[in-house]
Amino acid sequence: MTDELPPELQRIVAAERSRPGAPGDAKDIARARLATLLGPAAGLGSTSQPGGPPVAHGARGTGTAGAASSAAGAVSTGAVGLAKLAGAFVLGGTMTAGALTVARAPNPPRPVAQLAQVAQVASGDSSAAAPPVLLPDPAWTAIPAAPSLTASAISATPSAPSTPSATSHPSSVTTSDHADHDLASERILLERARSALARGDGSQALAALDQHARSYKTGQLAEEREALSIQALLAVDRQDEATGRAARFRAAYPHSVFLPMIDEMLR
Amino acid sequence: MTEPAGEAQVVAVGLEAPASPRPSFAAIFEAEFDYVYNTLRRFGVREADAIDQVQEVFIVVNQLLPDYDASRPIRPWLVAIAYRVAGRYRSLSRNVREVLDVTPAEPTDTAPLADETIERDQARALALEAIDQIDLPRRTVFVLAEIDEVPIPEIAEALGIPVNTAYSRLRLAREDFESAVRRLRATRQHASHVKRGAT
Repeated sequence: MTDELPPELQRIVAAERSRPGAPGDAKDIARARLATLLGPAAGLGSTSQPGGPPVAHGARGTGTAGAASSAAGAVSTGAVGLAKLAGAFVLGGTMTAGALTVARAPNPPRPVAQLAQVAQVASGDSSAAAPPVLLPDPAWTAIPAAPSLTASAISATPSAPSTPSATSHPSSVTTSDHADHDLASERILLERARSALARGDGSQALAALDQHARSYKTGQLAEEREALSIQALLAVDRQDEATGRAARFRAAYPHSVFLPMIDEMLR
Repeated sequence: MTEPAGEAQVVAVGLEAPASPRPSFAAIFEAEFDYVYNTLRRFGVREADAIDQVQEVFIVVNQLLPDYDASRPIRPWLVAIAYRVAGRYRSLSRNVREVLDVTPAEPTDTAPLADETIERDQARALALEAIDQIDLPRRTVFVLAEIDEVPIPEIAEALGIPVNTAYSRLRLAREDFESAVRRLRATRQHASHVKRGAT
């Protein structure tokens, strides 16, 4: 058997080929999450008029059913889902590996003083926690150059670090476009960490968080980063470091919505 | 979305030549979400984890989209990304265990009453389970060639492997698939007999 499958197996394959798409509201959930993670630049806020030219599959097979046709019906539910999920970021959502779930209010504007406090937390941790450095995932380098999928493309994600120093005011925050880009990049890194934690991969989570700390030391999501870092340290059995980091977190964010969750984790 | 037809189906995105406009992230998401979802399931991602992993794929898509050559078909490109995401997913022992812990489809003792829908569902369940038993690199070629019907040269290019390697993997994957189907059917028949014996 080299040229093709026997007819009976072809029938089985044909059945699999006609497999319907994702069940229920999976697409709406994913759209809402990605819209939150990637920001408005991703263009996922509305599904009625996705920009750009049509997408050519490049294959004869149908593969899935109703991919594009489901978009129109998803407009209203997608918008609702987006509203629901907009405030549940990083530690929220539907983690599948038993990670703790904490919903939080939509990001409020952070005062400069608070950003400075975050910087202290981050800088204090850099020597104590010594999290692993994020290296380009070697697995990605095997993806061919035709679509130009390279490790550098992955590692270059946060192309515009927000602040050169811990004490300087992040002027980019006041420039909406730049701030949006930074925030989207921050979210990508933290989502990578969150996903790693959901998979039980604390080391990968720490790597992503470390990259965030280096690129966005006083970023808009620094508080979330620190909370996730505590969770990640516990995931790799670095209890003492997690405890120390939690103490610094408490000092920096005495009213953080993450504190109950952190207390629960350390118990 | 109009499906391309025939062997010369691989065309640039859009109609303008020579420069092909790159589709937006949102357009790709809307058009290919289900495709990515199903591909990940075929790569061994559990249904419970599928949304998270689809999300991972599209995060990478968003990162790499500026480098995407719009003159090339999108699906092999997406599969290359999904392959890496699924590989990382499966590399975790927790997921390997769970992936292997596939709930077998119902035994076929309902066959006398089966209508077309049930038969198709059972065939899909069998196909997915059999595909799950193919080594991942081979499986990627198998899925692209047999399910998505992508020509081998396109597959080789998308995966960055020699054409002969792609053919070889497909041949071995077909053998793996056939063996797996045979094995799974025997297991189900045995389970069906045991069940009948117990009642």
